[in-house]
Amino acid sequence: MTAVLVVDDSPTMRKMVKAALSPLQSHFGEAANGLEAIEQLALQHYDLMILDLNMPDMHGLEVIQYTRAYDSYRELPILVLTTRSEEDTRRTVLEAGANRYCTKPFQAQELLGAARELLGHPPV
Amino acid sequence: MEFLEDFTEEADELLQNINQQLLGLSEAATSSARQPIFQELLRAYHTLKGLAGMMAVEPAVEICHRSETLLNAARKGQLESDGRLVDLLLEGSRLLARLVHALPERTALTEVSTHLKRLQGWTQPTPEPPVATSGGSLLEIPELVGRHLQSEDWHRLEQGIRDGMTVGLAYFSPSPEQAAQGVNVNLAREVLLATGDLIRAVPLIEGSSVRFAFVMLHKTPDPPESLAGLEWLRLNEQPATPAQDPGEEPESWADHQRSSPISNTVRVEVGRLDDIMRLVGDLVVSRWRLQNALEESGVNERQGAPIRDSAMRIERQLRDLRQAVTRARMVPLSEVFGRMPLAVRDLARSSNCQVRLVMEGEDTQVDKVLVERLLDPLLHLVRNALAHGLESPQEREQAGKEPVGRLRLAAVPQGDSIRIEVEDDGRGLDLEAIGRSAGGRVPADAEQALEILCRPGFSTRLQAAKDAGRGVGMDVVRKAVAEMGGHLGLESHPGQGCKFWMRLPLTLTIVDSFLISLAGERYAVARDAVTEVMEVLADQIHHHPGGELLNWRGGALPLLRLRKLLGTSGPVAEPASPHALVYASGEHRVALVVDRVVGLREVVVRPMADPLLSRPWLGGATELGDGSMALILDLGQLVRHGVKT
Amino acid sequence: MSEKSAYVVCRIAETSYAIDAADVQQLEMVDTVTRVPGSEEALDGVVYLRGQVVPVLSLRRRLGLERIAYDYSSRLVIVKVEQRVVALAVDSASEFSLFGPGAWQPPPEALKGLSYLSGVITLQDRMILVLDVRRLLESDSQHRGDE
Repeated sequence: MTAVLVVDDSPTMRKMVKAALSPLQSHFGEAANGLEAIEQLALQHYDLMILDLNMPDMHGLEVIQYTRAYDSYRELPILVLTTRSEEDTRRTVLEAGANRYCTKPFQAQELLGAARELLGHPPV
Repeated sequence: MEFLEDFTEEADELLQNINQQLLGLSEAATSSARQPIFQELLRAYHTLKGLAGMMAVEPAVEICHRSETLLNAARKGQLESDGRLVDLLLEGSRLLARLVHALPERTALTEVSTHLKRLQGWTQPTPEPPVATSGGSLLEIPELVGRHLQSEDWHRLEQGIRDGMTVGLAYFSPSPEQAAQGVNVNLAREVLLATGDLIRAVPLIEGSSVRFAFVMLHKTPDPPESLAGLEWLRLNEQPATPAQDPGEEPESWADHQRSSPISNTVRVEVGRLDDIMRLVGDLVVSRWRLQNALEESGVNERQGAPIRDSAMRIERQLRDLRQAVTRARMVPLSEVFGRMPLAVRDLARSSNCQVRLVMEGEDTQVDKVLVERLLDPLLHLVRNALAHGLESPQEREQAGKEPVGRLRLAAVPQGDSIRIEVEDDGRGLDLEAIGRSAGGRVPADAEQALEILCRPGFSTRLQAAKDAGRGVGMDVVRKAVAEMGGHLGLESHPGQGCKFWMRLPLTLTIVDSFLISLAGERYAVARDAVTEVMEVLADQIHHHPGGELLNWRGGALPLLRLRKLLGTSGPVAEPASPHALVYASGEHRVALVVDRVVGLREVVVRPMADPLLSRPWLGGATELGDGSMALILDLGQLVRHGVKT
Repeated sequence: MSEKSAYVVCRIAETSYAIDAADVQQLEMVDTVTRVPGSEEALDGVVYLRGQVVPVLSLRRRLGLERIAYDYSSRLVIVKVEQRVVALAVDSASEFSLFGPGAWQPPPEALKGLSYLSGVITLQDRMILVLDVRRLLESDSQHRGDE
């Protein structure tokens, strides 16, 4: 069974992401900030991370960089979510190793489709 | 960037020379052998400093200046001229080369400030002090953690140590067992926060596991209690007294305190002033929202009086604030006038004329943005004057003039604007030639001639331009002046000379404007040229074959309808008794009918720079308090030309 | 950057278009677009973004289609090209996508006439037309009869 880590400081947002991705029938882990996300990654294996950029304390960019520092997560698919896409952030995000980028508000179908692709599921 | 290539070439030459001399310096055995080298080096740095100053590359100017200081001290024997000094200067030379070549992008180099500090603090050769790391024996942080700290973290740590606090490092290693009991990184963080300030939480990732390091500042010297499951180390020596003995302060901190002279000025990036200006603009808008809300709230006179008073007081304070910020952005015009002598010297040489440059009013203070945008148009006008306006010395003598021509650059403040004049005593305009090369009528006066000169097509016809006496780049000049919110004018006396002038508003951003509504949309119109606002009744309008006239004060005014001028129809019908603005331009007055004049307010002008939006009758746009935008109309243009593009 | 190329993929009517992510500054929902009187066909108006007045170009119109009303899925793709910042209004825009090096191909014969196409990206189930943003913006100034 696949495991998806949802990182966002808003509990509501995490709920909505989980709901949108429920057809995946994955196990979901949650983290409300960067440190927790990094901790979670070590405690259990994940196949996909959905990451909010604008979090207090540690910005999503840093989280990506730390994530890629793990041996086991160099190739972890990361899908970044944010309300706006700022030029520098976007370029840095992709260069820092994120695979996809979705703007909020997101369409559930869109998110699901992207997640499926990143998990290597056959297209529906 | 007119002289970029010349500058780069010359700068490269100078730097090459500097490098060579520096190498020679390191090989020179005796003091007398070194003297000529010092002279050569000082001359080179000095020249480079001057050039860099002309091109406004401040970091390079600074580096040259401090290098000169060091070299002088070395020349006088106050400093060891050894390999270390040469290395330092060679490094500086490499940095200068990068600065020179990075000029078009003006990339900021962080190494510059590091290098400047080293130049400053260079008294005795000492082992290289790391600038942004722990200072000597006072603080030792494991490199693994230290490398994640930012400069602001180091500052906080320095400050904390100076205040006698304890620097602690706590480690937390998460595990599934602990997590099952609710002990996770969040909890660790919370526990630590109760014992002091968290400088930074650093995840240390190794393989597939992680250990979190927390750099803390604690008030108490003893290990904080209640740190179950956390490893804690003290990082700094327990200080005897909070104050540091200045003599033992590690160099990196001393640099900050000792060597930078306390000055009365603060260098502020224009961008920051822009931000402040924007905030002031937002405040202006907020005040209007407040006013609107007050008016709509239906609060009665007596209750509303104190609120109204406060709103008015805020308005006054905002005006003062706006003025203060505007003053802060002001720089003397000499910043741009000062570049003219060099340009004039070169241009005069290449156009075979002799010229005396006279500048007036260079001390006038203007907004920094103006100064930046003025350079190009001024250079164009100066070039035109020298290339086409001024005759050769022989021609001048034959015409009974002095062989040396006169070029006058003047800045004259006029209330809210400034008038900049470029005047020469040369040939003046040849109106016939201009008319000929435009393939049409001879212009009747200088103003018409200016129109022709500023046509985009005109500037490309170089041959025609030569005959006509002017032309290269005039459309650029007019465009630049328009973008500054100003006006370009021309006076000419055949045989005696030519004067180009620009009237530029001093404060660009906030304009008192009437807010009007038209066909459901809102627009802003500058208050300046509007002399009256009134309601128009149907029986005041007379229809004529040539247009409409409005009864006004015993006479009649030509009447124009903004709806027609803009070609808008929109969902909202025209009111029965619309409002009209009386627009005055010189002696002419026109009544412009809109739907309603909604209010008068200070409007923050946002320029519309994209070519897609360039229209002579659009002066920008502004955000209204409620989140929507209003286009700013240039009434003069609209009234004269409508919206034809 | 790695050999993958990043694009913003957007939809107009039934077709997907891709814009080089390097040209895209940000994506925005459509809030209020202020109309500009006397405008030519493709200019929807202006919006105010980050302290700047940005023109809104209807990509529909530029591609020769009818305008439709903005809705929740409409997006403004803010592109920055050589100092110019312009908002392209599209029906919807999805995320940034990374495509492998082999994905981009020059346009096929049938589409060669469309000057603003720089190429196509063929996926298993669909074809994405890659837009040349410079052309899109350029030809518009020319339409206006400017210099």
